[in-house]
Amino acid sequence: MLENTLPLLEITKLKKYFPMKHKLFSKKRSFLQAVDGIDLRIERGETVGLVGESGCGKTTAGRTVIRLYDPTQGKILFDGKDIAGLSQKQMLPFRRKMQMIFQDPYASLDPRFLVKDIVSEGMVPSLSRGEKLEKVKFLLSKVGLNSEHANRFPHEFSGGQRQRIGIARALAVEPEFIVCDEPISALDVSIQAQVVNMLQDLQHDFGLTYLFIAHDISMVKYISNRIAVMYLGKIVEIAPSDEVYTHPLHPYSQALLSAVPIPDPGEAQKAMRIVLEGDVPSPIDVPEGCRFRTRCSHAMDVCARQTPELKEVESGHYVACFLTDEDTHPR
Amino acid sequence: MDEQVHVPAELFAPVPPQEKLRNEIVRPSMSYWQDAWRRLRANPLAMIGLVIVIFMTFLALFAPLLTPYDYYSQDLYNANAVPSKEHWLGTDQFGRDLLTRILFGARISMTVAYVSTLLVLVIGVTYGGVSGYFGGKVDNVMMRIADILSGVPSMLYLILLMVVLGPGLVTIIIAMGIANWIGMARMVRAEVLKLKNQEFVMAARALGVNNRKILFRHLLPNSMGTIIVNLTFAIPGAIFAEAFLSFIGLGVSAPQASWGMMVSEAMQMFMAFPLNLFWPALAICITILGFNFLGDGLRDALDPKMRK
Amino acid sequence: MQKLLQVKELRTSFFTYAGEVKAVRGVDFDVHRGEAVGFVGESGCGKSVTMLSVMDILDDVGKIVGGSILFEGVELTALSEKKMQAIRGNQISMIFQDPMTSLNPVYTVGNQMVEHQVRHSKIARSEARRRAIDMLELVGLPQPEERIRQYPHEFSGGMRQRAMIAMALVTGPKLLIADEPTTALDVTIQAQILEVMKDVRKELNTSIILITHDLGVVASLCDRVNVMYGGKIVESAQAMELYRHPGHPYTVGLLQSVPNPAKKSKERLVPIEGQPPDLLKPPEGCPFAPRCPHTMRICQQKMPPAFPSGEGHSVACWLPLKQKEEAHDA
Repeated sequence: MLENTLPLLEITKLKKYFPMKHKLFSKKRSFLQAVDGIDLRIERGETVGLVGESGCGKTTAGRTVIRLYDPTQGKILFDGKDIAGLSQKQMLPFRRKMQMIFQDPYASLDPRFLVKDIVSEGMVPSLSRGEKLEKVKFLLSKVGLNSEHANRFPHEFSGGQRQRIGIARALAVEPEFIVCDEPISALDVSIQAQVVNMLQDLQHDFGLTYLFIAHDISMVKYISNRIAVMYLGKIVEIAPSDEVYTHPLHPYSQALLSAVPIPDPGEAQKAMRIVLEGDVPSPIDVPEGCRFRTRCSHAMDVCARQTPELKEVESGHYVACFLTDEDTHPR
Repeated sequence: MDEQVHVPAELFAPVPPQEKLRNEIVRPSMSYWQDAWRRLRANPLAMIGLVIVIFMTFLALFAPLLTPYDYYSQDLYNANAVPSKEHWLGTDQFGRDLLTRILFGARISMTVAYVSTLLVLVIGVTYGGVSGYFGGKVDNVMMRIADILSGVPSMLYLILLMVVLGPGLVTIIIAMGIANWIGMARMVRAEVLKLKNQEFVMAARALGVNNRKILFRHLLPNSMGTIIVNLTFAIPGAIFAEAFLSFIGLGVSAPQASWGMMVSEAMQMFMAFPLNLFWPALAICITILGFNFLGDGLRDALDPKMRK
Repeated sequence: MQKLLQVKELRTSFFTYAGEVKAVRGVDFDVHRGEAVGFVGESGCGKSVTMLSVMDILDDVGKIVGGSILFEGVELTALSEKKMQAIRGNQISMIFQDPMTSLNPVYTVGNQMVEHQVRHSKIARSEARRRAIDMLELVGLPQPEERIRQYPHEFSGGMRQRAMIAMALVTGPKLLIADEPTTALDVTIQAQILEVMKDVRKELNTSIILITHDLGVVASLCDRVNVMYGGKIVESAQAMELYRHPGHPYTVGLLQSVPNPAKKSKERLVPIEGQPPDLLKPPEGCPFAPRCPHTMRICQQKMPPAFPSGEGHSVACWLPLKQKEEAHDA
């Protein structure tokens, strides 16, 4: 279907390391390997979900993709152009095309700014004040607020309303791609559905492409076309959302999905829960080979010696695991 | 709980949607400053402080209009007089009206306080803001420079400046500015460091807003609370410093009426004419206390965590 | 099953500068021995405040303004602070959402657990230490003898929450109140903690009150569920019954607005329009009226009482009454 069109975003071997303060008398510099080489394609118009637990690097990945952080290594091809190494000045034309929606509705809006100033901050300076205000009102109505809200301060709004303001702000620059970084985690359950529906409608109206980062797997499955599962800085599985849920192939994905509580007591009793032992290793001191092997019940010798690569095991379904790797584990 | 509740049938009529949904905001709309003012008003000590500050500033501004005397004419026949109808606070050893001298002393104290603090504000805020925002090497270098400069005692600056510029009000103001900007810079830097990792700053960067705008439109306005509180505490420090310098003779020169100098002059005859010492000392105390009360109150009022 | 906790007509308000915020407006519920009861609702619905009232740990501006709380027949609202302290942490324990800040960082975990027991009963230190080790083992912490000598910061998030549970249970309370215990945790850790709570209930026959906004969490642990909205309980039922036959429009709305991953088809989520009510000016009548798709005139005027709707199932809504009257007239 999309054979000959360029993906909107193609991420290759992207790494983001944070240097740790090294101890006074040791020569070795240690790094927090937040994102340790990920590959991902995002097609125009689709929603890719990125799930994983705390410390897996998904937020860092999202921020690095839109260059809020500078990548340590790797390529980010946006519409064919590599933006990974551009200077801040060169990035400016791209900034309008890629935006972000943040997690914390209480920290993502400047408390001293009026709503209309927040939403219009990114708009092209050549617009007159009147034009900007018109656009602000239009955007506010698109996100379900009304124009009188433009003259108020953020603290007068609820969490859900603040998220809408943040979304209006992102839309104001007419982007093509939006990274949604846990946009609903801080909201009440009944408000989450409002915001998710709105995001879907906006995607349809404005032709947007989303990278939806969240830890709520049920919601990610609902909104995404495909899901990528991250663990300790690496993507371990990518597949269409239904596939990931019904046939997860990576042991971590399997454990993760079995841990999701189902809102139905009947189903909840039936579910086979895979309980992971131990804790997530530190991203400063990553295990050799496959980093999940310390908690994996199927760990083999090869898992300690080599790091599995992401391979297409079934059509559109990629897994990084020696269990499914034809070479080490022929069927 | 099984009482038969009878409900008349018409009350079962459905309510049309327009009548239901109100996206109204119920609490009164209050900006950050209005909320702070409300809290300040509720604090009695802070209000006393505010009154004192306004009063002293008023006296300083309108000093010549408030008194028929000037501060330098001598009237030796009336030296060291006790308070009377002509001289409400009495006279000093040269027969000069004490009340007048206090009023003009207020001018000097307030001028030094406000102007030097303004210098501290401009230099300190910009320096701290830039250092905090850019971080990394820039921050390191800037802070090390500040550390070195702060290691030099302020007295040294003052003496150097006096040699270069000569003694006087201007010298004191500049010297206070130089001695105190570092504290403000450090505080602003700390605030900026704390704020720059907040998501709204990240959002501004994602929108392509340039660094200068982020610093001056987002970071510094949000640091205003801390800056103001710091200022309100810097002022009594400056007042006291000026009084002290004048007391030891390094400040303004006679016959100008600085409170510190008045204290110094009155010290010699303290036992015989205590009031001459009492009035300027009282003026210094009240003014400094006033600013301190106000500063305390402002700090509580502007602290976002204490919003009820 | 005897009733451990009986709450009737509880009313709690916060007296702020802007006025009286009526956080809890007449709440009735029971908890039996060995039962796990869930309280579901969104922020501001009053579920946490209800439990803080039971424990009497409201802050300065909060006050219980009405109702009764009977624990094993004793009226808690009438107790002196001293008598309340004997119950708090001893007969009724509470654990909170954030395990990072609930444990004192300057004392070892063992020290805290021993002190806790010693303060509440005349138990020898050695005995208290043994109980602490047993409890840490019960909650699934490996090598408990070493753990008790460690400080909280040496524990990971999930382990800290287990330690909190252990500390809450070490005095053998009859009731454990858990206020959003898994909200801050990763989903795999959450699964572990829910297993721990199930084990605890089985081994010790402790009753559990679980406060959460997550319908999935409630489904996996609780026998009964109370749904709260706007300071009132709007529906109360056995867990299975609630999910299969929800009676209150709010419950229905919640269930429809949460994606059920087990369902194949991608039905569009049906959100509940509007915002939760501001309890500074609580609406007359049913608090859900502004957002309910079935609002009637009566809903805006009078608060519906809790109508029984089947075995152990009650719904505070006028709608069933209308349907009954229509069926009656027909």
